[in-house]
Amino acid sequence: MKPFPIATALSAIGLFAAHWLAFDFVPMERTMGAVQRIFYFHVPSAWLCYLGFLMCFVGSVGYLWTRRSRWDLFALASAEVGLIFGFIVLITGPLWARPAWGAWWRWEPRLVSMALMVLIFCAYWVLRSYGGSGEGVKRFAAILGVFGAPNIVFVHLAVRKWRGTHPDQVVSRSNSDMRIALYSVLAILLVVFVLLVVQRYRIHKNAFRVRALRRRLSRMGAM
Amino acid sequence: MRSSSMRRGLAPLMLAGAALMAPLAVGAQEAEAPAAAAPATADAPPPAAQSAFQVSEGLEAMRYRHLWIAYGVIWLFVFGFVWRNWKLERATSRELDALEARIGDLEGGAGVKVDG
Amino acid sequence: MNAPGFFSVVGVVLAKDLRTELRSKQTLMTMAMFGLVLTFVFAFGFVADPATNKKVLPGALWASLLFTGTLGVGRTFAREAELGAFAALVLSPADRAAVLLGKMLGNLAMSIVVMVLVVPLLALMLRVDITATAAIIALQLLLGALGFAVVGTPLAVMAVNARFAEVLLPIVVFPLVTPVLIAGVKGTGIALGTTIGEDAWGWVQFIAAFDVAFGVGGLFLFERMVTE
Repeated sequence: MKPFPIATALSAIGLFAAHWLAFDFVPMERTMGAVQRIFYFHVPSAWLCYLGFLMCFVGSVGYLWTRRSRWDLFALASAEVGLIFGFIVLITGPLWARPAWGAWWRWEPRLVSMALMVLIFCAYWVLRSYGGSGEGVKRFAAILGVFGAPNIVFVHLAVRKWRGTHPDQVVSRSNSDMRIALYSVLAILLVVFVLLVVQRYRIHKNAFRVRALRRRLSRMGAM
Repeated sequence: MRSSSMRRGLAPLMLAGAALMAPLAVGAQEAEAPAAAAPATADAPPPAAQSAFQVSEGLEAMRYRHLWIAYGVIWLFVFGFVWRNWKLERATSRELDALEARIGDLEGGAGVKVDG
Repeated sequence: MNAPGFFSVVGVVLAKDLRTELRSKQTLMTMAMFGLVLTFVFAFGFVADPATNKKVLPGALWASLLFTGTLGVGRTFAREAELGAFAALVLSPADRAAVLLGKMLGNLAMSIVVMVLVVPLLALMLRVDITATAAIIALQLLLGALGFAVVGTPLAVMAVNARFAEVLLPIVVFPLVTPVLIAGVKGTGIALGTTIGEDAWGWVQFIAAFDVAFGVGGLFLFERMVTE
């Protein structure tokens, strides 16, 4: 009947399938061994984090132009879910890098721009959580959402200019089973991502209406 | 009201902090173990160029340990977030229903008064 | 009444701000004082052998630009907000982008004054001779200060409406000026000969590109930001 619970159940099954793909379906990678299996969740998470950031950008532009709160809620929900995937990327990445590169971190364009993106998302989240819920804060956050996206491009360019490119084409280097697993997990996580955004959107919408009704109630009480 | 919203905000932050500590704890362990089998130096060549080097037992163990920690973090984040959202959504929709009912009562009562 | 021309509005806003600032010297004095304190912090924190000092100097310079800049940017619209004149500024027939540009240039001017004080002092205390490369470092810092003003000023406008604005502003602005920081530190390092790199001018160009992109973007968006 309701699409949301069905989709939730399906994505739960999908997550199990994703683990089967990452742990059993794909062959053991020759040079990196077991730790390479982090990739099947790490890489799609990174893409989804970028997607969340992009959606936040679009929502922020939409809000600045139309001043409709649905755009603002869309931007906020995408930023929050993007932040969750960003945390996953930033924590699983070093865990992979330590055995594979021998170092937790490298000053490499993709790493730095991802870290900066999560930092900007964090600022966005702190702003929304503690800056209040007025119209002005929404616009403040929208400006941050709009400025953040081109900023990541500049950070990427800066670090590339500074360190040179890293010729690490993971996706094109892997064999077909690995690619199948990667894209399947991506599809599953995309569904999870969309569901989470929808859920966050509904939570914020409810909270928005609760605030409005409280105001109305206090006005009625005053009468 | 304020303190509860603060707590709600701090919970994921603490979660994130704990998750960030995990690799550090692993790192400390490795530092204690003498000569942890790290492949070459900090500026090791990209993975493709390393296929020839000998895989020691320590490295193999580290690979599995890191794999499990990574998936642990993923599970923690995804399911923790889902659980928190589920609770939040239930709480807000319940509050919304209660408020709507109260406003309905008040408006209904006012209407009756006017009619009577 | 005809709306005044774009650049005359820029000039009026800039002149008004500079005049009131010169009269009270509030913001300028706090910024300069903070810059002075930072100089001592960096000097005590980092001073070592001459080679190390030379490596540390770019980071210290750019960090002090960012930190003192935050103070100035945070005060951009504080006076208007205190006097309730912000609405008047927005409602006036003047082009809002011109008002913003005037404010940006005001912040830039303040940063320049502070850096003129801080840079020689830092170089002196870390005992690095920068006279040979003073021109390019000045240009880099000028463009960097412009980049900071260009990103920080529109955000400072919006921060007027937020709670904890004075804390939130640096949290929001610092990540956004990271490209300037990277380019500035690398560029100054190359100019001083401590960082390996082809040429410092590439980084100057990079900061200039950042300034143009975010300056134009901010001016373009400002109309959208302040209209109700």
